[in-house]
Amino acid sequence: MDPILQCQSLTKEYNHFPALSDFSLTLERGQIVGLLGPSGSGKSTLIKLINGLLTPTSGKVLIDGMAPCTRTKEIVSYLPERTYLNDWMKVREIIAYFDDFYANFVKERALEMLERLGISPDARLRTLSKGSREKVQLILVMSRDADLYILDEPIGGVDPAARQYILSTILSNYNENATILLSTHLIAEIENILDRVLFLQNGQLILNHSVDEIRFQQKKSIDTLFREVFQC
Amino acid sequence: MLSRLMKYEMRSQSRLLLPLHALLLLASILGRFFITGKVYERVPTVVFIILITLYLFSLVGISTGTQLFISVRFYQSLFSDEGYLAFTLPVTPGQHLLARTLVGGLWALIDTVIIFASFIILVMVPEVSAHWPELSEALTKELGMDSNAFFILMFLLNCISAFTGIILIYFCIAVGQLFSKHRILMALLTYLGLTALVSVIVLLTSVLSGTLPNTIGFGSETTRFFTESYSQTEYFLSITKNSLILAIVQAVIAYVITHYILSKKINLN
Repeated sequence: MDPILQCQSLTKEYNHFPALSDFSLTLERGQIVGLLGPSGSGKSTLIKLINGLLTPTSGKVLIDGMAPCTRTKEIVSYLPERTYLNDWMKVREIIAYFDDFYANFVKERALEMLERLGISPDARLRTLSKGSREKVQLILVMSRDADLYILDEPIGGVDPAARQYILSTILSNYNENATILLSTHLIAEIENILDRVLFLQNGQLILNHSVDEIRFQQKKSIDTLFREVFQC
Repeated sequence: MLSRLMKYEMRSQSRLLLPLHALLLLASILGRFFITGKVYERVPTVVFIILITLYLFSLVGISTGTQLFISVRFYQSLFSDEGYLAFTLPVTPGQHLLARTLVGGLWALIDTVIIFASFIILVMVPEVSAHWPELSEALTKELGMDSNAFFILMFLLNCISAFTGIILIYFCIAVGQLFSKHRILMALLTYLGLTALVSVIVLLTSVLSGTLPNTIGFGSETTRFFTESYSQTEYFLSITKNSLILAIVQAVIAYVITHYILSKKINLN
């Protein structure tokens, strides 16, 4: 079986400025991976390349052994940083939309999570608060039985109580063969759920370790290590 | 997947375009009562003139607005935040483009049909339709061809240009995406550049083939234009045929390039 994600000498330049340069990485299945780095380090660029939203300047991205295409889009569930839903649509219509396009979308799971959060399926997205809209988007993404979940700043814009809910949603909907790649700058909040961390700096991978290695060999928390590595 | 894409695209375009065109039909029906009920005899002439002017402006406005809205939807659904969803659906770029071309083209076509219908509602009042046979005969004589056939031909041409027009707009928006900054401005400049280029090509081919009247006059068609044997309609039809071929060739090239950009050159902001 191919690794779920491979990046081979991946480079992306914007006006000759490299946002990601000669980036190579292999991720195996069944782990939660934290993609960490200061802003501008290339996290979003990497995520967009994996999702086929950017065209690489050179190098390759392979998901389950394939370059981004309809087959890979069937198995990747992506939560972008921004709201990508039509705000005039009702929550129920958006659920029908996901159900129409993604064969691995589990509608019942989405409706159940919405109910638990007290979000009415008949509410129009426009009438919901920013936090509720983000939750709807996360529910949609986590209601898919995907092989690779890519979550870009899933807890960035919500309050601490909601953060807890979001993290437990991620954990309870994640099957053990799937991989979650999660980018955030709120390391302390998520370090307990991570199996592996990747540190990015100036478009390059400067660290790729399992959390246990860091904890037991270096005897540090991820948060402490991050602060040391990225000291200003 | 194509039919699903079309269903959702139709829904989002119809949200604005359906009420807009329903309103135009309603206004035309009211206008007809205004004419058949001879209401205009009871209002000052200036009001009548203002109403007619408003009607003509609204036709231009609705037609331009429809094209603009279809363009904005193409941009929004693929290249704004919504593009993050569109391009992560398990759908090929070809399906995205075809769905939007069919739905956008269909709305451009509906727009043409409704404007045509609105015109008929207003003009074909009983007084006019009672004299239609004579009018039609006079038109046939003037045109040098059957007037009904002429109208049907014009209508078919409009149908084709509804689609070719939308394809060209999509092309310009896609070309705009190749730039890292000012993408909408670049799309507009592409549109202007393309229009200018096509005008130059048309002018050159017309001069060379001699179909342009009042040119130096060495072309046989120009000479024929001023003789009795060559009717203005024939001349008009030959021009129309050429521009139709040009529009179709342009649309095919534009479609292929747009497809290439969507498949190989996507860089969302």
